[in-house]
Amino acid sequence: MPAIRTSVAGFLFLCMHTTFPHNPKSKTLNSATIMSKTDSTAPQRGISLDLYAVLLALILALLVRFNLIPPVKW
Amino acid sequence: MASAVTSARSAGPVGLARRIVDLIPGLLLLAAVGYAGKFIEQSIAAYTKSRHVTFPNIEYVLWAIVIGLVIANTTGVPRIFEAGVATYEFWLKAGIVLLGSRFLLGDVLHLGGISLLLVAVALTLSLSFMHLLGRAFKLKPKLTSLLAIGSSICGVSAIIAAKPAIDADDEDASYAIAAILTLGAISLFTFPLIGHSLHLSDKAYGLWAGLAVDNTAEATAAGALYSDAAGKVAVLAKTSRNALIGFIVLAYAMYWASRGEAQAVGNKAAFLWRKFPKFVLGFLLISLLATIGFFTKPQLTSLANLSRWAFLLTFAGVGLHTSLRELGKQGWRPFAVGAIGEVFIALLTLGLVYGADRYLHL
Repeated sequence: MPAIRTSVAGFLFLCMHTTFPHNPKSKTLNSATIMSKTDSTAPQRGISLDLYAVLLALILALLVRFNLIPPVKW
Repeated sequence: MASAVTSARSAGPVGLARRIVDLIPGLLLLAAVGYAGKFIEQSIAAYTKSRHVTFPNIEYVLWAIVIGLVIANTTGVPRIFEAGVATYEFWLKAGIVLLGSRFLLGDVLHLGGISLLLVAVALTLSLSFMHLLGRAFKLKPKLTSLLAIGSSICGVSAIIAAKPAIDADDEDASYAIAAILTLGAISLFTFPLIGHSLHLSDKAYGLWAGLAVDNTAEATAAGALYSDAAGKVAVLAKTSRNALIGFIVLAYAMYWASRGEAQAVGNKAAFLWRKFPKFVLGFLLISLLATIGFFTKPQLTSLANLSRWAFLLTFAGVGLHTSLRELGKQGWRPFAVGAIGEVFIALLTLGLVYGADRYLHL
């Protein structure tokens, strides 16, 4: 149960702080759309997506390491 | 986007709940498309096995991408799914970090070192070639710079990182991104075919895909389409390439600043850190933990499977985010420069991989 609580808390934290950049592959591929969403000169308020991906992966690795989640099958 | 975060924080639990609810439909769509791909692969394999029919195994990767492409280019992805579908790059990065568990640090250093060596050679030649092409096709110099960075290093991420650093126009960045995305979509289908026709080994093909395909998602998919082992090597090679983004963008920023057409870079170390893809460090950390025996064998299998689930969401997102119609609307000249450059880079890296296979024993 603590593992599930940790995962849920981690997910909520991620949702609150992560900013998913608009992907430029989306349907409206015009310059205004792309750049308004991806301009990295804009003030950076959230921590980068990379760091949260690393954080999530590390949390999952620890949960697996300490057998707090069942074996993951494919 | 920043305002969305601010509003989510200021609105407290309500904003947070809304953000989560916004992500759910798209996440479910990614999972449904990805799982459908896996289901189709397994069903075909079970059917052909029971009937003793010989049929080539078509990986779930291809099914997931094709289903996504069909949805995106027929009905389109409704707005309600967009936020969740946009998370696919997040799953890609989490998947790459988890994939570190499948590499011993020695392998990472060996293959990563070879990759970095090949990247350095390929970069020098491809950047020069792209600039020559840009001049021949009379493209704007900054558009040429963006195309060169995108096709030599890391596709869209590199273009987005370079755009403010060299003070390029929005229009130029859009053209460069569109050209790189179109070529990435084409390479998804052509690379495995070429690899099979040349009878490349898993390692050689993986290295080639990681060095030549631009976007990380497409490089991962192109590798996985060949084989599981090739996918693993492609991710490692691509990760080595990604690690160089900061250095290349810094070099371009300094070049354009010296011409008075971009702002000077103050603290270079801080600039490099800002542009450095942090998931590379996560990948190395997990690989180190696996090397020192922090995980048992069944736990390593679980981590590898978690990585595959994360990639499943990624591949679904690649298809769902590719609009062929919109990509086709971009100008022909940036596309032509990108296409010629990509063919050059593909041939160049193929030659380098052959050489490495022969002399450095992959």
